[in-house]
Amino acid sequence: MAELGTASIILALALAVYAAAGSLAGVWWRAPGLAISARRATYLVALVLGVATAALVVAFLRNEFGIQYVAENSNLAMPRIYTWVAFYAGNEGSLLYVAMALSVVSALTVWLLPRRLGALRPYTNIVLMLVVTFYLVVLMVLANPFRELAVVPVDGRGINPLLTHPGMFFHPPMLMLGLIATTVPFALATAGLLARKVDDDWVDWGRTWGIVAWALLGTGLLLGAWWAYTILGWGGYWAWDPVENAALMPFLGLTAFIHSIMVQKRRGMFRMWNIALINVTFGLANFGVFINRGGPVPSVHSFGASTLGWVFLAFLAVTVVGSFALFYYRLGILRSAQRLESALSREAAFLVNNLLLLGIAFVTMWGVVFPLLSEAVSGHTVTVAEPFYNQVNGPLMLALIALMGIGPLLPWRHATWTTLRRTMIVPFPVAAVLVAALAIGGVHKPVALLGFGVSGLVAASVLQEWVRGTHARHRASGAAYPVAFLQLIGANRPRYGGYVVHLAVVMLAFGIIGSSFYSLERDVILPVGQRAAIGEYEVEFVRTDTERFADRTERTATLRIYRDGQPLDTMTAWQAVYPSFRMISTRAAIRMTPVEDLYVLFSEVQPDGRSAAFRLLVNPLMLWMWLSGPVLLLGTVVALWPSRQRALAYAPALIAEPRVRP
Amino acid sequence: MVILIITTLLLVSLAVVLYPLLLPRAEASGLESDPAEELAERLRRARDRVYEEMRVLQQEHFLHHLTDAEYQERVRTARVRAALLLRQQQRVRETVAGLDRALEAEINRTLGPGQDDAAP
Repeated sequence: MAELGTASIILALALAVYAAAGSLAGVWWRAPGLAISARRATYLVALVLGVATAALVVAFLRNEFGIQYVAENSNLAMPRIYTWVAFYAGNEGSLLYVAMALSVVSALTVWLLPRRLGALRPYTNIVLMLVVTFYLVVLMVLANPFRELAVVPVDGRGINPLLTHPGMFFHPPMLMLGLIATTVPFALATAGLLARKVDDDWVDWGRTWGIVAWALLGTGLLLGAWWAYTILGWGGYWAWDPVENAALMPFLGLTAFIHSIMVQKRRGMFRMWNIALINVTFGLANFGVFINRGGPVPSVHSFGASTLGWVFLAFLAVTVVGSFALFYYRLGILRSAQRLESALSREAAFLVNNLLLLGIAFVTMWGVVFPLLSEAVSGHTVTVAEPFYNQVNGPLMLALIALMGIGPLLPWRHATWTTLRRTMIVPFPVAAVLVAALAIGGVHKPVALLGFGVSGLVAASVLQEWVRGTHARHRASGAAYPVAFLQLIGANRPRYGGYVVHLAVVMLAFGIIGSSFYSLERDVILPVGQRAAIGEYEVEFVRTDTERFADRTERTATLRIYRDGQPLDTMTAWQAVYPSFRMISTRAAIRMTPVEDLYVLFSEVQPDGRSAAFRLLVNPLMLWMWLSGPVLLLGTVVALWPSRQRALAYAPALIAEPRVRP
Repeated sequence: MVILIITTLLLVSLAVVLYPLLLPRAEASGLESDPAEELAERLRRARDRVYEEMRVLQQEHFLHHLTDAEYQERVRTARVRAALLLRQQQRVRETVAGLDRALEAEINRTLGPGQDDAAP
């Protein structure tokens, strides 16, 4: 498999170089045959890298420990189901995954690009294939996953125990795919600049791929939070770790981009903003790759043994300088025909939205690079911890959520205070009632009340839009309310899909506010049969069980839970010791309800063998955070679902006589 | 087996990549888009964008984001833009049709009287 894998990577590299060069030559020499040939080479890159991927997977399945990467990331005892995880567990394998994913995404982009964007196709292909070429060169020269060992070991080292978790089947590939998918809108935007075609035709396609990348990144981040919550053993889900931040920043950039591009679609404005945004986002994605692979900032996530940081830093520098040089060179043709007419308009709301998102990204970036800067300047490393991020980003995020409640209610171009008052007449009182009810119910922390209040504002705004729109449809068409609701969503899927995503953000905010401000925590040592109290619960230590395997020793602690003196549940906390990794892996016992989680972490058995240490936590509203993921995906699917050609059928009636509001 | 797979990949890649280069230029050019069609398509999309804008205006009006006066004024402006685009589309169609007729007439003159029936 080593020979097949290496040969495939070499062939893929040759095809990628040809695809980029052939596209360029096809444009310069006006040779359509050459451009078509280059396009086909793009499709072949995906096929050939698929073969390389299959070769590595088969090598794992056949325990080919003569391949260094297989020996370092698996062993005879590893359950076959973890082969997929082992494939991208290490630096080399994950780079192969990234190259393969990018090649597939590139092939899809070039293949699906509509005819009306034909002028952009060769330039898009050039940009995509240049990025693919970079990754393939790194694979070939610096990080070949098929490198062979001089002496074949009898057994491998095994997979990192932290990766033997269900979340690991999805979190890393989705995160990496989301990061690499930012290449597509970047390529489309750059192609427009290269081809001097910066009218608004590329907007739909750029938005679609932007949303796809955004959804992948967002889901990947949420899965990572879930993984951290269940396996890292500190009861939290986000630590502002440099690698977490490095994925968050391009997510924020993409969020700004997919909103801002709607302004270009509807009003032909923000052309410069959108190009700059996607350039920044692509740069942040590359910064994330740099941090993750041998970057100078340590993290639980990074491939610590990688020395490739300088390569990705150089690539980052080239792409940032090159993209902004091209942006500056084409500035003259980017000016929008329309201007911002009013500060009280949806366009203005999107502009403020952009500024808040970029502000959060900048603060996060500052926190990541500040230790490096402090060391470079003063010789001392000043660590930036969670309080900095919470104190600075917290208010910005609150403002962003508040804007989510107001912005969608503003019309395009300009609004009057009269219409604004009329649209806010329900959401604001609803939010105020929610805050009052929570305050009466015992929620007294001002920041938490404010957070719940703005989240309530968003939810009330979305529900108001749905109710009004459904009622209007019902009166206009006579359809039953459920049918009218579905018709409403079908008539404007981007808008209403976006509202579903906004509700997902509200759910996420509820979980973050509840767990950040009202968590309880207690460390206890319990003898068998004894109980400890936390919140409304009592936790009784029942027993431990030990089971030995070839590569690990597993211990489970059984606990009985009581509330108001009555037995409620039985929970099992788990830990395993991996001697070869000198590591202990834990799984918390979690009892999840819509109101709160009871979280029990098994720490260690005491020397007397009859008592054990536990960390007990009560985390309010966590379930809403995890449920926000499927809701976010649902909203994304609704927003991206293709519409039938309604506009043409609808339009003649609109042109003849505008309809009067019932 | 590995050598067979590698060789197959190489040969398939060469065949797929080289085939378009071996096509006659005219046939390859036929795979590219027609500028007149592109222009017509661009106008159609611009017109669809105006229709979409009018639909969004109607929706915003229903949702009380716009007053009656604001709605009437904006939709009137959009209707004028839609009408201008329709007129442009019609001009393009007439121009292309006129060019086709002129080309056909030229061909007939070149072939001479009674020759057009003998064309294969």
